Amino acid sequence: MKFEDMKKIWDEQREEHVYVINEQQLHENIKSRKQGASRMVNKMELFLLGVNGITGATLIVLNYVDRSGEVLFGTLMGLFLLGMAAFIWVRRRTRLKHENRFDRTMLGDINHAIENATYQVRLSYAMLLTVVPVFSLAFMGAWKDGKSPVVLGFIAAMFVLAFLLGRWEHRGLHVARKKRLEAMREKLTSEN
Amino acid sequence: MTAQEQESIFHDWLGRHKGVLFKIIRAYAFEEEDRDDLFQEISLQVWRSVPGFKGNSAVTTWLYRIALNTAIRWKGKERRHADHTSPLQPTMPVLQEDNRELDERIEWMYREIGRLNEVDRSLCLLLLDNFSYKEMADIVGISESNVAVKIHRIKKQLSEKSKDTDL
Repeated sequence: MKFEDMKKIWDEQREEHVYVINEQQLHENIKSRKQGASRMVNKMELFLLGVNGITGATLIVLNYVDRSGEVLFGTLMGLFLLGMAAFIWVRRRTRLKHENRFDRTMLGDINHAIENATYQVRLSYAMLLTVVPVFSLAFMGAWKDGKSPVVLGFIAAMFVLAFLLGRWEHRGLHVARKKRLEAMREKLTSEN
Repeated sequence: MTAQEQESIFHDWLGRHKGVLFKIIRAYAFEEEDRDDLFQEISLQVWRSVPGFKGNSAVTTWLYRIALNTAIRWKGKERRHADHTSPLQPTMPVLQEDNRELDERIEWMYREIGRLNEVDRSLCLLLLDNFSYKEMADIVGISESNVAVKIHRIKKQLSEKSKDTDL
């Protein structure tokens, strides 16, 4: 059969009557999907903003108030964390601004989705990096307080677990999604 | 644009052009549950896109682009499960299949279109619905010559497949 014959068959179909839409349910589901989609990213951003901002500010204040020991390392770490919080805040504003942006072409939309996925990859990587200073602070604090080796071991184990889970999410979810979108772009633009 | 206006335009589009969306979900999702999920995802994107529609193109062209772009990025049930990204709470189905008898030639076409890769499926649907190469190139964002190359291959592939059937 030639493609032109298939086209004639295609033109005969009346797709409007293949399904019946439950409009009330559609309305409900759209509402819940709309909220669900941005909830995860939103939580992740707010969590990172909170952790980085509070830890960074605390470190700087503590090192400023108590200058008896080594202050440079703590201050630099605090500045680094505050910088990270500022980065997340700026990226969050950009994301919210472009949340409902639709490009003129499918390729443009995919490029935009890749941009977002890249942001997600960076954000989850930043989250992974955050584990290290937070762990160091918690561990040092517990150690200075004279906690038992069991408690110190428990804290270390929890942070290792958090790190591994974060790495799993980073690679399995965010990096994989970005790769999938890039593969789609390749399919779209390839000449064969 | 108020939420009420957005809602009203969305329902108007859905009422007049649902056939376009049905064609796309049939080409990209092959199980009832998946079709329902894809339809909801496309509906959400169409609803979101309403304020961005400036009337520079026909509504059908706009809907095709939004729906196809959602469809090629959408993950089926199996893939969502493998990626551990299945929705936590199952929702009530939105689509109910009409029980009328389906044309087996159309069924065959959907089956074969479904075997093309995601991008070729988009181009095939656009071609069957009378979009020109120029319009396809504008919707997809690739050159007309690239569209022509892909279309040539799709036509050849479908014609070859049709030889194996007695339709």
